[in-house]
Amino acid sequence: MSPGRSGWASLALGTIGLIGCGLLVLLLTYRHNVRLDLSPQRTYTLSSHAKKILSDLPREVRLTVFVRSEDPRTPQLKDLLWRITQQTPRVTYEFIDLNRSPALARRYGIDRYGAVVVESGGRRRDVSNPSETLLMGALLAVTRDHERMVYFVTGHGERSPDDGDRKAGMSVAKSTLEDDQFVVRTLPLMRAESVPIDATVLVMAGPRKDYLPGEITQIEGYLHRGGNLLLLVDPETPSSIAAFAASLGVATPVDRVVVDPERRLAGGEAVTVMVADLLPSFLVSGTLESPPVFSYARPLEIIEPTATSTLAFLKTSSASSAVPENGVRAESGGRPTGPQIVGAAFYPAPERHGRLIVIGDSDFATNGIIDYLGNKDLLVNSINWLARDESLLAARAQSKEVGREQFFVTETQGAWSFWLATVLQPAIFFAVGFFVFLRRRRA
Amino acid sequence: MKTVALIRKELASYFAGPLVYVVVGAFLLATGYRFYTTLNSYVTFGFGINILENFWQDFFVNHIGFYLLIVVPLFTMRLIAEERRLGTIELLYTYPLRDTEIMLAKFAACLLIFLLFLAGTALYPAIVYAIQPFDPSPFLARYLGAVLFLASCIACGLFVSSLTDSQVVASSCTFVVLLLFWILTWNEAAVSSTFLTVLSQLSTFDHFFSFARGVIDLKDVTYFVLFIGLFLFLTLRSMESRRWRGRR
Repeated sequence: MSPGRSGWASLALGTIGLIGCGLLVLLLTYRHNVRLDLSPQRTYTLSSHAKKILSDLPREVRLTVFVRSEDPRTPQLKDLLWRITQQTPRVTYEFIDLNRSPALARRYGIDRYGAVVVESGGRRRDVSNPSETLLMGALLAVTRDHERMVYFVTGHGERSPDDGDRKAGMSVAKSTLEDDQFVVRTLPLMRAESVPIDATVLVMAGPRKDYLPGEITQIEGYLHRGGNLLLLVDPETPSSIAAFAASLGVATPVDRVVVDPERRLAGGEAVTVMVADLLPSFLVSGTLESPPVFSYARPLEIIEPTATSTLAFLKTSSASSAVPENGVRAESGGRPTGPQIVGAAFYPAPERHGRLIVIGDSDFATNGIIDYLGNKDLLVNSINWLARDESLLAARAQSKEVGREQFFVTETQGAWSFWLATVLQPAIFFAVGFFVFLRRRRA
Repeated sequence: MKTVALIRKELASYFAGPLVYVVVGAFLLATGYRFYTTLNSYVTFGFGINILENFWQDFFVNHIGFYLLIVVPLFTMRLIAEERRLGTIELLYTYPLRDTEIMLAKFAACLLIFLLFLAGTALYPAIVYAIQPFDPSPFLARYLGAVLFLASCIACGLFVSSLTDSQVVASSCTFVVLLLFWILTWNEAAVSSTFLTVLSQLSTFDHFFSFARGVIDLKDVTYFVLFIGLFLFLTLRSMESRRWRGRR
């Protein structure tokens, strides 16, 4: 063979071999990718909540995604589904171009771009604007066989899940619970004969008025039957509720508010505090990735604590103190009296078959601050623990905080950025270039 | 050692003339102007809640990435093609240097020059940081992506430059090849979804986009390393071919 021919043959073989090996390596890394997510909110990594749901999926789930070509949302969706399938082999997905397969879309009854049909075991759930949270909710809906009911007691000034007020309402809490496949209802105790038999968890979210003796009896009856209660108390919580809480094993000192100068919100008042001490061995607090933020919290005292049935799982820092409600301003910087209990859990006891959690604040679950740090997780974890669904206890995907990544550029800042980026920096290089040009010309 | 000496010689030849300064200045003028106007437009019109993340994503992919695509061929066209046209390549081959050393020196020197381009763009995050501090960690991914993409463009340009004596041909062909890899998946409607999946694994745009979001994926790093490796291999083979093709 001539040198030319053998040269070409060697070149062709070498190139084909290299491309083949390259493609093989590319395929391997595609299948076994390792990701380092440096985005500020770890947007491109599954939350531990999603990972738990996916690793515990009881059966196969099929996702059919209806998209259109060149939709800017499609790459994000593809990435999300790819992350899901990396986590579990039980989920499979297929992308269908709605414009190319209109008949298939009609068969599914889908006419919206970006819709995802989630199917498993003959059950189906459609998600029209898919996000990690909504997809996890749909996965739970099609793979779970029983409904979990959460009743919020109303009629005594409690915070309501039907209240959409942007500060005091609890509508965000409701939709978050619904994402976890809870059915959320309100319960006006005054008009009910007893707590419904299907109630998985009963929530008393910061009552402001006294309960009638008959209503307390209804709740006690529910607890004796093995019911589970989440009681959120505030400094304004009336004496009948304080007495009821004491009968359950937790005293709520009257007219006291927790202040924590060390863990107060930057620039805020001393009564808005970050809960410093989260019991790591308890699932509700141990799975929180960020501490919760309480505002105007009431301290709790556990009556006759026993290690087997009682847990103080949320405490403030050692710099905190419980001060009289009317002296908050004066004593906000006073002498610390040590960590204050603001969250306690009670396992079933001989006189009560259900589980109980008492938290010394109801504001943390309101629309105003539920998205702060670990607040949302604390609420949903508490309810999942009460519902004995420990598999769902984990940190959820953070919702994007409004304003966090938004910023304003003033007229002066805009002018500075223009002069620096567009004029000064290029001008330096042009000037050096001109100087070099002149020097070369002279030489 | 020989390679380092050759890199020094290459860098000295770059900085001896005004070309580098003028092109860096023009690049920074273009990116600086786009930075200022895009930032203003994002601030004015919002574009969703996560304005900064979207802004940097857009800025790195559509401006820095795209401008590099245009500027790189202007530098790589002269790497071998010019030396071949002027006949200085013959002189270079007479030195006791291996083809690998010559190729690596040219590649590394050009990459170092372009790092100067990228270093200039660091002013933009610094300006925004001065206005409102933010978490800078995603920039590690963004700049790693930019360096890998840049190295890929240079490797491709070096290969094309090794094929021809004409700088115009080298420059335009490099631009066409780079543009083709950049826009492979832009018209999603034109191909089937299966083929689109394959194309997206070959597209420089799709792999760079991932870095621009602040994510480092092993598959993207591997893609760019393989891209660089393939074109450097082809450049070496092209340089070696003078022995059996009987050309310079």
